Amino acid sequence: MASIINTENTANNAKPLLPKLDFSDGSQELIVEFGGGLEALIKQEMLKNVKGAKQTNVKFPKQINKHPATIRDLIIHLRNFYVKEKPELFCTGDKVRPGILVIINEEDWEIVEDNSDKYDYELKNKDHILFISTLHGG
Amino acid sequence: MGETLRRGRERVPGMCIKCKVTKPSVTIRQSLYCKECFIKTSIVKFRTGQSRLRKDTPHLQTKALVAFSGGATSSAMLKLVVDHQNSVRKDVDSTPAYTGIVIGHIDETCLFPEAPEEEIRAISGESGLLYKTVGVEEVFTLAGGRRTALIEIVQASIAPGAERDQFCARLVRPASSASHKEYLKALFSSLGSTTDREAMLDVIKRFLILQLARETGCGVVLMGDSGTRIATKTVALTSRGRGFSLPIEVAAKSQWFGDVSVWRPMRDFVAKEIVFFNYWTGQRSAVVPTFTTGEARLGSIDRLAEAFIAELDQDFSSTVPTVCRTMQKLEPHDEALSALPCLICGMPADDNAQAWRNRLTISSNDAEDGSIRSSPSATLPESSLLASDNTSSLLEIARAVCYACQSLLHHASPGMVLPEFCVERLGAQDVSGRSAQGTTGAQRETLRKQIDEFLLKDEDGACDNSAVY
Repeated sequence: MASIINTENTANNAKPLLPKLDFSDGSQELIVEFGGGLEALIKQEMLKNVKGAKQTNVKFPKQINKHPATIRDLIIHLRNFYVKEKPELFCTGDKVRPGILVIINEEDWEIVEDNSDKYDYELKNKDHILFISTLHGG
Repeated sequence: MGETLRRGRERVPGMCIKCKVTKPSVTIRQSLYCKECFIKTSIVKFRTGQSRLRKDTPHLQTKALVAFSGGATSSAMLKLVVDHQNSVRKDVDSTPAYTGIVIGHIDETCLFPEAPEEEIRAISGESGLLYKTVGVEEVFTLAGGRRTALIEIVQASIAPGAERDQFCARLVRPASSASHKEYLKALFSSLGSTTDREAMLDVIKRFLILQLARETGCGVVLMGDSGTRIATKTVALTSRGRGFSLPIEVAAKSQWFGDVSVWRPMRDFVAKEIVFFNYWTGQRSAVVPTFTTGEARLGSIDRLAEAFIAELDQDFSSTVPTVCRTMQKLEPHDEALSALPCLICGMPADDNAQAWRNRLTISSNDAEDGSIRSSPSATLPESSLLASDNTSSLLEIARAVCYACQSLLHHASPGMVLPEFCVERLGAQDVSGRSAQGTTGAQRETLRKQIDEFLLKDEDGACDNSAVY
């Protein structure tokens, strides 16, 4: 599994190392939306209001370390560049905080084939990814 | 026939568990559903839950108040209730579930200026129902604006060598210069922790919602507690020392409040189901701020309990349903049902709460600062005293307060002023029809006599005793 995180650092929840995004293998445009109070964690200048939804367009490499970019890579990227403070309220290491649901293209991300890891979902151009908190009060 | 039934239950690998021909879009506890089947299943589940709640009273004809915070669960509940009501209306042979529906909302702007009240009003407006709102600070206005007295807690201490905590209070006349908002803010700043502030807000909101129900003639209040919330509450309320009243506070249906029945029709839904239901049906909801919004798991007991349940549920998706099923089997103890309501929270106050505290509470630190806490009367303005200015006017209220509220009082600042409903509850204690025997009963009677002159009498048009909850 190719990942852009440094596992030693994530073990103690330190900020994972992230190499500069490399677009040499092409780029893709993702629409990332935040709901249930998560929008308050994101730098406001990054967000735009689209019909009441708080979302942002993310330009992301197609490949990371010669492997297709996954949602795991995106979570770390968001944590490092979009979350304004208290990243632990968004994720722990490379996993979203318990109580946060992820909806990819209007479907539950937990629907995976062959017992594969939901974090290995390979991102596609124009994917719409919604992170939504179910926690009381956001 | 049997063959057909068996085939109907078979799962088709990789397909929706219901229609078996569509690729699934959501998984709920290892069951896969397509979008259409998920929405249908949710609606059917809600209606079945409603029927179950009405089982004991199938011919109940009353209005229902939807307790609407604007959050995800109450928004989903509003949609489901309206949908159910409308679907029954179309069917000529059946009677509607309720004779009418009112939306009841507590405006918390006084405590949370960022509360999205406009958005909440807009969401409720989509239903076309009557929307009744009351500010949380209005808890300091009762009985048509005629205020009698407020209770001021002046002493909460364990004196060295004493057998139990002393909670002394006195009646004070509301200062005409102070607004309701100021009283409310002072009350919350007097509380010792975020957990206590959350507990007090729950108490006030519950009181106001019940008041709204009575004002609008609703015999049923529908609370939007999801299964996930019930599981969180189970852990949180137990941790806060509310085990005695827990079965009432999370019950699917509770008659504790006498004239108003409290139902929790959303308890069969976990948080994930509610998110997907709202998302796919286009039901909007607001993010309602709390005292721990933007805080990590150690913000309060409620927050910690929620994190505990969410973390468990992540790896074991049956956590919430298992806790809820267990809670369904829990019934209030006979003693709880016959106990008097705590003057603060209105939940049953265990007569043995003092004994429990003696056994469980480490009092050494409290004994040390007891000397500081036990002489607060000097700091009070004399004009605020309603009763005579000697110490005999102090009310010993320990026996009228439940275990959890005793803990809350213990950590509160001296001089904390409680809303008027606490005086009403004290006054109603000997006439509520619930058992109060022996010395405890005699003490309560003495207590009631002490405050008798400050209570609104029936001929004044005051609320009846059921309103003290």
